[in-house]
Amino acid sequence: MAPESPSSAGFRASDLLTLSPAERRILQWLMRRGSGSVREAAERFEIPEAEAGSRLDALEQRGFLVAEGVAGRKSYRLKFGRSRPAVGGLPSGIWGKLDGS
Amino acid sequence: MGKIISVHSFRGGTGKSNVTANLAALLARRGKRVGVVDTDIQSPGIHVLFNLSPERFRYALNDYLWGKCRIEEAAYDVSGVLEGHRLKDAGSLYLIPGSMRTGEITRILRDGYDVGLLNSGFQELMERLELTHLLIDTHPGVNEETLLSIAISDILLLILRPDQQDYQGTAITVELARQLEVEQMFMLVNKAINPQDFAALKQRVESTYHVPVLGVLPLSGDVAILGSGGIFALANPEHPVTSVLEAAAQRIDAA
Repeated sequence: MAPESPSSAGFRASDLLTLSPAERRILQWLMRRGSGSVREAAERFEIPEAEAGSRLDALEQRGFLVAEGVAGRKSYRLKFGRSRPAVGGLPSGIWGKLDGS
Repeated sequence: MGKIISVHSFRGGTGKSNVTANLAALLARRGKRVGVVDTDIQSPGIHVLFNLSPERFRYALNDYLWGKCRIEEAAYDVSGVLEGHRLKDAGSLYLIPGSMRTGEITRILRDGYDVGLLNSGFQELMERLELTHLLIDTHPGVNEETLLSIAISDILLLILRPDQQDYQGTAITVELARQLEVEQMFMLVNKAINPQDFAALKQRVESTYHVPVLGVLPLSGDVAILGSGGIFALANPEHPVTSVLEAAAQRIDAA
């Protein structure tokens, strides 16, 4: 299940597998371009600006994004976490997700 | 904008780094500007194929990830391997190696690093070196770096052997890549034994995973004899292995 509480650890690539396709696509889009505004997200995903804004804000509240600039001209970028020292470890939920459970 | 290509295998020993180095060289030979990043931080090695000895690199990917240098300072022009093999003049080849210092490898394992730097490093490399193709040589299996590489890739190339363990593991990677909606996915079968079976093998793999197979490479004594001492396809342009790699490079270039 997708975590609902803010992630203090920041975004991790494995989080992509626990998000809805719409949320995941926004994060993957930002991974490639570095940052993006509400308008740019709305254009990219062909959705109303209000919807793009609420999706970005929701991802910010969950600790995956940081916003810079003032309202209306905010730009969002990913807030990455550190790699885990135990390299190779992934949240067990991923395997459940692959199993469809 | 250039293309990011992740080269991955679920298990080790598939010849992933060898295939990556050969495809990179063949793309550069065709006039492309190609970068190769060794993200196999725990067991780096692709620099050997480009004749870049650890004594010659001041900075490695590890140094960039710890903020000691800019990513382009860890990029080495290894276009020298193309001399005498170029089809077009413009091609360039850069390698960002992983550190071969024991302490630096263990430090990554112990302390981790800022994953955001790895992501932005890929984008900066594309931009600053004006790359047409960036090949990411990943660590086998599934980990955070692998998922990151897959998530930002335009193309995912999966290397597998005709082996039951590889088949099962590859299914997991294919499933992950589908969830992450990777734009294009290809496979390359390596170390196949029976040349009479290659066409049928290709068909079986394609129908199992529903992913195009770029080619089937034999388990080659000639490749083994070279022992990572260079880029096989450049040293053996007429070899049947090179023909398969050349066709794969052509397909990737056209993708």
